[in-house]
Amino acid sequence: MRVWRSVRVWLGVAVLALGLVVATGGGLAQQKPVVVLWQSEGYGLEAVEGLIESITGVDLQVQEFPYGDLRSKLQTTLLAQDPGVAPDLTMVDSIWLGEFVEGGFLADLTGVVADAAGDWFPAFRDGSQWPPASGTYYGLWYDTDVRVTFYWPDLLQQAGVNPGDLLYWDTFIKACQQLKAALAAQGVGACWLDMAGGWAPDFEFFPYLWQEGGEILVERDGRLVPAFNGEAGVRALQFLVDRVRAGIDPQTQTFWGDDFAQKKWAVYPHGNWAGSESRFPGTTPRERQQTIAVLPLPVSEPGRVPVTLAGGWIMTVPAVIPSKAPERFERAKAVLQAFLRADVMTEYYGALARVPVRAGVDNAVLAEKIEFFDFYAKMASVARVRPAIPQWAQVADAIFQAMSAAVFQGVDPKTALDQAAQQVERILGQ
Amino acid sequence: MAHDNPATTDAESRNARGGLPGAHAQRGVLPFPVFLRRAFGERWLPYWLVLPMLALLFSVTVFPFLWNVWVSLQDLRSTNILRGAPFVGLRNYWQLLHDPLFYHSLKVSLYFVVGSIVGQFTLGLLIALIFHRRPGAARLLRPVFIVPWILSAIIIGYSWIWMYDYNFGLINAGLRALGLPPVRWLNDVTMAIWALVIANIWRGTPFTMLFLEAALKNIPDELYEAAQVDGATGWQAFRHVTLPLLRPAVAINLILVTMWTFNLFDTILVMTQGGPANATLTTAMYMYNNAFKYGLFGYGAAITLVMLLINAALALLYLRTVGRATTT
Amino acid sequence: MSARRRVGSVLVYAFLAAYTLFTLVPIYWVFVTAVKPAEEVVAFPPTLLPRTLSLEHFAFVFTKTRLGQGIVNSLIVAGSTTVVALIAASLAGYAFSRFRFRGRGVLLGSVLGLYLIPPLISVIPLFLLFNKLGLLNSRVGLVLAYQSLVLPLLTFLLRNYFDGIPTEIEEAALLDGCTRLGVLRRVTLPLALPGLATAAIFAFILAWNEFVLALILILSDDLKTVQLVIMEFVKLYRIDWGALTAAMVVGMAPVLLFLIVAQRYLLAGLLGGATKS
Repeated sequence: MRVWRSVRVWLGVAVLALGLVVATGGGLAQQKPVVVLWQSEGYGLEAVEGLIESITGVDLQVQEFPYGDLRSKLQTTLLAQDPGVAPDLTMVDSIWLGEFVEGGFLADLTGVVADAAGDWFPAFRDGSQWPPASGTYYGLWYDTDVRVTFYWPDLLQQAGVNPGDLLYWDTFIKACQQLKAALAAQGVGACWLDMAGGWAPDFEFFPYLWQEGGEILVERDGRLVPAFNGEAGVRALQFLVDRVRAGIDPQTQTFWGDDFAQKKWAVYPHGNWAGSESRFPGTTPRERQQTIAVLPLPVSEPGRVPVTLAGGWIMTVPAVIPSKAPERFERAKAVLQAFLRADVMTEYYGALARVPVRAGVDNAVLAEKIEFFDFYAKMASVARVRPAIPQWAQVADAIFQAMSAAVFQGVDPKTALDQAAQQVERILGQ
Repeated sequence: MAHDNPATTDAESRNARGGLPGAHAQRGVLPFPVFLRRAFGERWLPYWLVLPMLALLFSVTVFPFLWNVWVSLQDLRSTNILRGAPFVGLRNYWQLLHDPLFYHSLKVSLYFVVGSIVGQFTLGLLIALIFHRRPGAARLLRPVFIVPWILSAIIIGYSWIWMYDYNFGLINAGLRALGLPPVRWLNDVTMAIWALVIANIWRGTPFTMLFLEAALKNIPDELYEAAQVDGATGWQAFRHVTLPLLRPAVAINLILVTMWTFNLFDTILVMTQGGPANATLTTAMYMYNNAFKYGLFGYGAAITLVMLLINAALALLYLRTVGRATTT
Repeated sequence: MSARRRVGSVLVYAFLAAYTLFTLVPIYWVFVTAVKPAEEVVAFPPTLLPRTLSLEHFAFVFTKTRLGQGIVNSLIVAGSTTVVALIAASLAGYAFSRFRFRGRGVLLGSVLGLYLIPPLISVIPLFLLFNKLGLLNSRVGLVLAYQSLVLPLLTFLLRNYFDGIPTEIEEAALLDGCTRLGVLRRVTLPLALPGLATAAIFAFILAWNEFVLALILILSDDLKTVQLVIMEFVKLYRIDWGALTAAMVVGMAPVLLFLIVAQRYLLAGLLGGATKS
């Protein structure tokens, strides 16, 4: 009998607690309409939050998630098709676009953004549509970043290395060996080599593949097939293997440029954010230009274009917002259009050192606010983007597996790439 | 042997009396009140009693399991889930057989499972034997030793990430103090899997310890006394009395631990997500990646079912070899 | 002989001491980090004993993060899971222990079999199913999903416990004219209280610790359980170990508390559950 009494008491407590939570949750009334925007950690749209709020009169709430979590979170949330849990606007990595559109998770925004898209550079305008350049927009590419070689001039000088050596594959390797010999004693790494995760191909393989005239995938008989295992791919992977063999240790843990800012590395091929204020807090662009320096990624021989890789995020709206919460869609559209204003984008680019994807932004202002701005802009003009196909995550992992096999298990580059190509063919054929 | 078939215990025979004969449903239409009385009467009572449990388990375990079988026959993925997926028969399974990463993951799982079991079993058996002989030490230390087993995977995972931290972790601090070079435990392609194994031994040993300790308690003392009369040494008593009698319990313990370790992915998800460079990509982790990173739900479902088959095969193997009650 | 035994004893105690150290050091390292001030957490080389004690991380996690909300959510979910599982499992355990009915062996065997199916298997279908039923992102859904983790174990624990209660008392009550349910309620359950307590502690700990199902089934921040909130402390490339370890200490507190105050029940369940199931 005592059991039942205690069970009843516990049930009562549980019900009370539940009620309490519901009551406190419901008690928070909002005055201004709230617009929720999701972004990846550190993307930094809160820099223009006040500006957007003053333009639109909404209460903009920028919420952020770690990079990998944002994708799975979007997947599960949008799959639930419940506007109650979906954000009004979200940033998606440009490589997720195909998967999310094919899944029916994103709203067709052609009517909202097509006019503005005229100012966008072609690669990014096409990349905002799915299929690419089809005329159907799912938002607009908001910014980009380029991969470049950062270095500390004083460390190079100390080791007697000429920065120009970093421009070509063979001299790059020799420079790294020289740096390693000179700097190891003081605990400073020579050349960073990223093998830390699925993004490694973006830094260590795709740019070199493109420089050598190769492609990741090509279209044949109306369907995509792997092309990265051609001669260009083999040369690009061989360059990776050569670097490792020459004593440039592959790094399996990344700090996304923080360690370069702490001067733990002399040479650091990375995204251009590694030279921004986010990594050097409290410094001005001018000060950064005087302490660190930057070069294009190395090429195999003089005359090659130093093609690099451009990433970036697309600002978009979940499909469930227009279909199930039309009043929120109106607000989302207004906020999106405010975000796409040239003055807002200038402000955001300047604050976060982003590389523009469009004309119409104030380059003079940006040159003041962003270190090496002209150089980044030039690099962006020779940059390429990855195919945003639905199977991209799998394709990238297969290529990373080939790189790992070549680097860690000593598999011959051609064999490793062929194996990966077979797998990618299966992935694309499914 | 009491352990041979855990589902039927001695309680069964004891309760044979209190039980009811098998419920024979009578055909034909019954008058309503009679039907009611029958339905709630003594005969049907056990069914009513197990009904809530069965209903809950059916809806959250059996039904999802069957659905999983169905999903594994479709090409269900995040890009067609809202529209409906095509039925592809056994294609997911066929693809799995040709998937090099799947074989890679089996190899990683093999290291993880064998490493974990060797560590957990050796330590667990040793402690169980000590505790069995020294009840004082057991009373004092048993509660301490089981702590890792009752913590959550999140807490276990982050505790060990912190222990393994290159700069601030205690292990590298120890190595540096001894004048040895620090190790990038979780970021080293050869070391990472063993770092996970150590964390898993830490987590799982208490279960084997308790399991074997309980089994040791069931061995009658008379057998040891008899062995002592025969002049057996401690080791001989262990070899010829304890070990053979422990065998069935060892088999069940190995089955449970193997399955759990093979299926385990929560701490791996927290600690390495399969990295670096797929060095800790176990089959369970690979399944998680397929379903929730690549959005391939059908393929993921096929992997779980193949995992279940592997589990069943291993269980049979253990029962056939270790589980044989006959002594050699 | 006695000298040899003494050497053996020393070896045994050395081994036990080493294993105690192995068990406690990772937990110690979490606790000690949680009470270090922020600068000392990342001091190099790390300090074995905190130079200064500070509760700043605890103050931070309780005032500046969702940890409090997470604890409330976890208490509700784990508490409800326990109540639901206890009711269903005690009825079923009683039936399996006291009745012989057609299908009993098969049912018992399948419940045991379910216990061995990895919870991983049901994650995808549960997500799809709950999505259809509107149970996604709800505490009710999570409580239902957690039954798959706790019910088989609890049914076995309680059946074993009922097996150990002599039937004579029940028979006497039956002869006095009590109904079967009356007997269960008035006689057997009170006698089974320790067993119920053991089962309740187990259900609570399992539900409190779970995070994979919660990760998939809970979508909004205000419903996150304490384990999910702890995950939030881990950022892309900067982990605030002071705050994280403080949240971990809070997250393991209930479990350690059970170990201290209800050790007897916990061990009874572990040992009993281990041998019989």
